[in-house]
Amino acid sequence: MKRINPIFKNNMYVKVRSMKLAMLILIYDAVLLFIALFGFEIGLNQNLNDNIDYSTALKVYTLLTCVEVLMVIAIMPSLTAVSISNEREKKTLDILLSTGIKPRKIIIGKFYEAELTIMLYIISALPVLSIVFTIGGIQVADLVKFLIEIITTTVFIGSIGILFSSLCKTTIRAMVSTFVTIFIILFLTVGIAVAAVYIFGFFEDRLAQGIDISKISYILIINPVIDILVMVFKQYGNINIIAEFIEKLGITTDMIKYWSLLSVIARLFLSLVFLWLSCRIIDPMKNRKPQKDIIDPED
Amino acid sequence: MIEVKDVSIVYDNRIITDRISFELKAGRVMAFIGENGAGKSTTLKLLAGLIRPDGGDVLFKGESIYKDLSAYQKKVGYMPDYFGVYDNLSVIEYLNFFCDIYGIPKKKIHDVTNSLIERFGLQSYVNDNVDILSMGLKQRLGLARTLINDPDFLVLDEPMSGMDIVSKHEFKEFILDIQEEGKGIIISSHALNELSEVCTDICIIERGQIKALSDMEEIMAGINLKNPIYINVISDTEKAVALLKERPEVLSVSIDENTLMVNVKGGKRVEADVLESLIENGVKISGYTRKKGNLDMLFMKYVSEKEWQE
Repeated sequence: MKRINPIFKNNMYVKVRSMKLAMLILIYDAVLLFIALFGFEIGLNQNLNDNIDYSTALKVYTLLTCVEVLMVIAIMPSLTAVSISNEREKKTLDILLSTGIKPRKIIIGKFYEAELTIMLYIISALPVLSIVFTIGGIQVADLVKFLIEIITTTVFIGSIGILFSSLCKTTIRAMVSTFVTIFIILFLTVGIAVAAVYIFGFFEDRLAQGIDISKISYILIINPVIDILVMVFKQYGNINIIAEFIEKLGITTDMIKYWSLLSVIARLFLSLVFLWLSCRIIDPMKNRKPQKDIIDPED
Repeated sequence: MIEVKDVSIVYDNRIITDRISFELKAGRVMAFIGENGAGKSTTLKLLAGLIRPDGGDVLFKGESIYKDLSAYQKKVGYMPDYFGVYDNLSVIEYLNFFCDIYGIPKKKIHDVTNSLIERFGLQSYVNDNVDILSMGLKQRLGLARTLINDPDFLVLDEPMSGMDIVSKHEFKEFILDIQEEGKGIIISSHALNELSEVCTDICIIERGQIKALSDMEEIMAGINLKNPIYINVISDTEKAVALLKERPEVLSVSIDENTLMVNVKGGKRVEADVLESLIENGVKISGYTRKKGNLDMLFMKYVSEKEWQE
C-alpha cells in the first residue's frame, strides 16, 4: 500500500488537533452566513409585499460566490507562503533535505496540506451556499461548476504562495511577495484590459487594420474573480451589472463560450509550472548558480 | 568509507573550500576543527548531501555520492549546528515523523523509536513537547534522530554547543557507544578538549584549506614532545641550570622555585640523556613530568602560526 506523504501527514496531524483551525472555519462560515441572511433579508423584504423576487437568490448566490472566492484568495497565501520559508526559518529544511527525501515530496506535502485545509473551509461553507436552493433558481450543476472554479483558484493561489515561500528567505517576504502578485493578477490585469479596451475604442479608426488590441483581454484568463463573474454570467445572463462589466473588459460572446475552460486550463498549467519551479529552488543539487569572478580568501 | 576528493566550494564568488581532501573510515571519529568561517559547516553540509561541490567529488564506498544522492543520504545521519523545532510535536511524535520520512515500515516504527528512547535516556520525556526540552535533551534527541535509519556514519556539526558539563559528558559517552558499533563519525566543535577524548582522527581546516590531517594519538604525541618538561629538583638548582645550559639539545631553561621548565630539542631519547647527565652530576631529582598537550594547544599553534605569517 502506498504511504501517505509524511510531510502532509505530520503537518495535518498537528494542525487538526489545534482549536485554531476550528475557530477560523467557524469565522469563515459565519461571515458567509451573515452575507447570505443579510442578502435575503434585503432582497426579499424590500418591496414589503407578498411577491417573491426569485432573482434575489441569484444575486445572493453571486455575492456569496464572489465573497467566498475573495476570502479563499486571502486565506490561501497564509497557508502556503509560510510553508517552506517557515521550515527555513526554523532551520528544519536542511534536516529534511538531509534525510534523502525528494524535494518534490516536500513541496507536494506542503501543497496537499494547504489544499486539504482550504477544502475544509470550502466544504464547511457548502450548506451556506445551499441556502439559495431553498428559494430556487440555482441548480446543483451550478454549484459543482463553482466548486471546480474555486478549487482551481486555490490550486493557483496556493502554488504562487509555495513558489514565493521557496524563493524568499523569510516568511514575511514570502507573504508580501505572494500578496503583491495576487494584487497584480486581480487588479492590474483588469486595469490593463480596461485601458486597452478604451484605447482601442478611442483610436479604433486610426489603428492599422489587422491589429486587434481587444485580444489583450485574454490577460484576464488568469484572473480568478473574472472567471467567477463570467461563470455566473454564463449561468444567469440576465444580471446586467456583470454583463456590462464583462463588456467593458472587452470579453466578447465568442470568448465567453470557452472562457471558463481556458481559464481553468491556464491556471492549472501555471500552477504546475510554479510547483515545478519550487521543487527546483529547494533542491540543493539544482539551485547553485555558476560562479564568476571568484575571490580567493587568501587574497 | 567516505572520501572527500579535491573538493572546492564557491559561494557568492568566494572560495569556501579549496580542493580539500580527506577520508573518514568506519569505526573512526574525526574531529573537524577550525575557526569560525573556516569552512567547517559547509564541508559537513557537503557530506550530508546538502551542497554540490563546484569541483572535486565525494566518494562513498568508492562511488560518487551524486550518482544516487538519495540512497547515499539514507546512509548518513546529519545533525546541524542548531536544533530545528517542530511546534507542538512531542518527543515520540518527532521520532515517529522522521521514521516516516525515512520510510521505516509501520510495524518497525514502534521498535525503532522505543530502542532509541531507551538508549538515549528519553523515557521520562516521551510525551513532552520538543520545544520545551533543555539544550542537552534536544541534542540527545537530535542524535537519536540521526540513528533512526541505522546510518553508516554520522555528521555532527557543533553537537555540544550550549551544553552544560554533565550533558557534554553524557554526549561523549553516546558518541563512544556509537563508535563501538563501527559507525564513522565526523564532529565539528569548539569544545576541543572534549573532542580529544572521543576522537581518533583530526582534521584542521583554515580558510577553506586542510592544514592538518592525522591520527589523533600521533598528532598529540607530536605536541607532547614540543611541550616543556618539568624537573623537580631537591637541591642544587643553580648547578642543574648550569649543567642544562651546557647541553646543545636544551633550548631553554626557566626556574619556578624548585621546578625547572626545560625545552629540549629532539625525541625522548635525548630527554633521557639530559636527565641521566643531571643525576650523574649529583643533582637530586624528585620528579619529572611533561605538560600533556590537548586540542586547544594544537589549534592555537595553527592559529598563532597563521597570525605570525600575517
